[in-house]
Amino acid sequence: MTMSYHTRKRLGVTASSVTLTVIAVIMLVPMAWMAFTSFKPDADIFTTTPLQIPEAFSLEHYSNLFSQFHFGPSFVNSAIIAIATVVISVGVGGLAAYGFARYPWRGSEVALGFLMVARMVTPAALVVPMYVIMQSLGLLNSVTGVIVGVTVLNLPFVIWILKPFFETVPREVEEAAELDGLSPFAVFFKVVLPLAKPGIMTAVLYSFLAGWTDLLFPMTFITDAEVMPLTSSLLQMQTGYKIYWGELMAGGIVLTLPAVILCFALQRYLLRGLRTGY
Amino acid sequence: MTSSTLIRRGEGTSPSPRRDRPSAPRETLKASQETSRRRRRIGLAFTIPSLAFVGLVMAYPIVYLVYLSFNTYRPLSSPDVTPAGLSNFIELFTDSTVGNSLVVTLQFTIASVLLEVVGGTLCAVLLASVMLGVRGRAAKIYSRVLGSAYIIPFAVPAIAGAYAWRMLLDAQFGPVNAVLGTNIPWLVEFPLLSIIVIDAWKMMPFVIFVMLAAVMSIEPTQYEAAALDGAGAARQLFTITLPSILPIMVITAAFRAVDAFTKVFDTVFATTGGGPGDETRVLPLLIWRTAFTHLDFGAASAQALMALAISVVFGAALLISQRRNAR
Repeated sequence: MTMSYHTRKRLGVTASSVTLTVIAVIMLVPMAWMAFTSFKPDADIFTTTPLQIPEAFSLEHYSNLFSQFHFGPSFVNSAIIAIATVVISVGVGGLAAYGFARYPWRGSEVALGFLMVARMVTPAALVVPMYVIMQSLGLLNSVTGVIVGVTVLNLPFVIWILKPFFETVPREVEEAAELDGLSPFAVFFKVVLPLAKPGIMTAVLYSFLAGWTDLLFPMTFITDAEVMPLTSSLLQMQTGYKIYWGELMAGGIVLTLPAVILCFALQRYLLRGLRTGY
Repeated sequence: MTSSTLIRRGEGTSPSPRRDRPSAPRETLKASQETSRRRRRIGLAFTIPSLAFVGLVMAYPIVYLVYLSFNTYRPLSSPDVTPAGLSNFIELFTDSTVGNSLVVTLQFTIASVLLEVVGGTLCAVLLASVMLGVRGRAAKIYSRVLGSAYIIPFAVPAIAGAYAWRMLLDAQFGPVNAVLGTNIPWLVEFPLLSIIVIDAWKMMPFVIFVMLAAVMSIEPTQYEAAALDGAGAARQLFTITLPSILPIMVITAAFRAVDAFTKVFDTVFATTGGGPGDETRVLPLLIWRTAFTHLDFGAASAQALMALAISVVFGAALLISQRRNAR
C-alpha cells in the first residue's frame, strides 16, 4: 500500500508481460519441436534423451518425403484444391454476399438463414452420403470431389464474412456509378470490389486455409497416393507396422509453412475479418 | 461491432427514400414498383449461384442421407441397398457407443470452449494492459512479436499440429516426459484432457484476437474516471472491462461451441484415434468410423442425421437469439 500508483502500474505491466511471454513460448513449443525433430537423424529422434543436441543435422527426412511419399504431386494437389476453393467460394460467395447486402428480396432473409445454418453442418455427416454420390459420379480419386466438398462448406462462411464488408461501402458511390449507366454487375466488379478489398482479402485467406488444411474429404475420397493432397499424404506415414516419425515431422512442417507464411502476409486482414465477423 | 448489428443496417427492403416519396404521384408509384421488381431480379441474379450450389451439393446429400438411414447398405457384404425400416434409428438408442460418443463430445465441447474463452479473455486483458500501459517503440515491437507468436497455432493445419503434439507427448521419445523425468503415455492415460489441451492450443489464439478487439474498443476515459475514484486494477476489471466485453464473450463461446461440436475430427483422429477403447470417440469420428471402417452406411447415416439435427437446432437457436438481441 505504500507503493505509488505508478510503481504499482509498472509492476502490473511487468507481471502481465512475463505471463504473456510464457504463454507465447507454450504456443510456439509444439511446432518448434516439430521443426527441430524433422532435422534430426533417426538415431537422435528415437532416444530417451530427446533434449540433447543432435549428433548431426539431417535433411534426409525431407528428401524421403519427395522420394517415398509423393510429396511433389501432393504439394501440387494441395495447391490446386486451395486455389480452386478460393476462386469458387470468393467468386460465387462474393456475388451472393453483395446481393444479400444490397438487393434484399422477399425471402432473402430466409435464404440467408438457410446458408448460415449450412455453416454449422457436421462435415463428417455430410461426407457419408457424398461418398456414395461421388462414387456413382466417378469422382472418387480426383481433386474435383474434394474441391466440391470443401467449397460447399466454405461458401456460407465466405458470405457471412463478406456481407458486413459490402454493407460498409457507402451507397452513394454505387448510386453515382449506376447513374453513370453501369449495370449492377459492373458496379459490383468495378466499384464495390475495390472498395471492399480488406473483406475480400479476409475471405481469400480463410478460403485458402479451408482448402489447404482440409483432411476429411481427401482421406475419404482419395486412395490413390498420386492424387492425394499433403494432409492425407501425412496419414500414409502411419502404417499398422510403423510410424515414420522423421518424415511425419518434416511433412508437418512442409504442410504448415505455406499456411503460416500466408497468415503472416495477410495478418492485418485476418484480424480485421475477425473483428467484423463477430 | 457484432455482425448482427451490421446485418441490420443494410436490410431496408424499400428502395432509397429519394425514389419513394410518400406524396409521389401515380406514375412515380408505378415506377417505384417497377424499380422494386427490378431490384428483386438483380438480388436473385446475385444470390442464385450460391443458393443453387449449396442447395444442390448440400441439400441433395442430406436428402440422400435420410434415404440411406432407412436402409441397410454394407458394400463389403453386398452391393445392394435394402430397406431396413427403423432399425438404424433403434440402434442409435440401443448401441451404447452412440450414447457414450454424445457424452464425450459434450464433455470435450464444454471443457475446451471454457478453457479457450476464459484463457483467451485473460490473455486479451493482459495484452491490452501492456499495449495501453507502455508507450514507445519497444512496447510496440513487443506486442507485435507476441501477436505473431499467437497467430502460429491458429495458422497451423490441425493435422500437422496434432502430430506435433503426439511427438511432444510421446511416452518414450517425447520431450515432455524427458523434462518431467517420467514415462507417462499421456494420450492413453489422459486422452480426453490431451485433446482438450491440443484444441485449446489451436483455437485460443482466435479467442484472444476477438477479445482483444473487444477490450481495446472500451473508452479509455472510463478507466481514467474509475482510477480517479480510487478503483484498483481488479476493481476496474470487474466493473468496467468484463461487463463491457461479456456479450462478445458469450457469442464467441456459442460459435466456438458449435465449431467444437461439429468439427472436432483431425486432432482426435491423429492423436488418440478415438481411444483408448472409445474414451475419445467423438461424434464426427464415430460417424466416419461406422461408415468407412465398418462400412455400415445405414447406421452411419442415422448417426449423421442425429449429429446434424443437434447442430442445426443449436445453430438456428443461436442465430435467432442473436437477431433478437440486435433488435
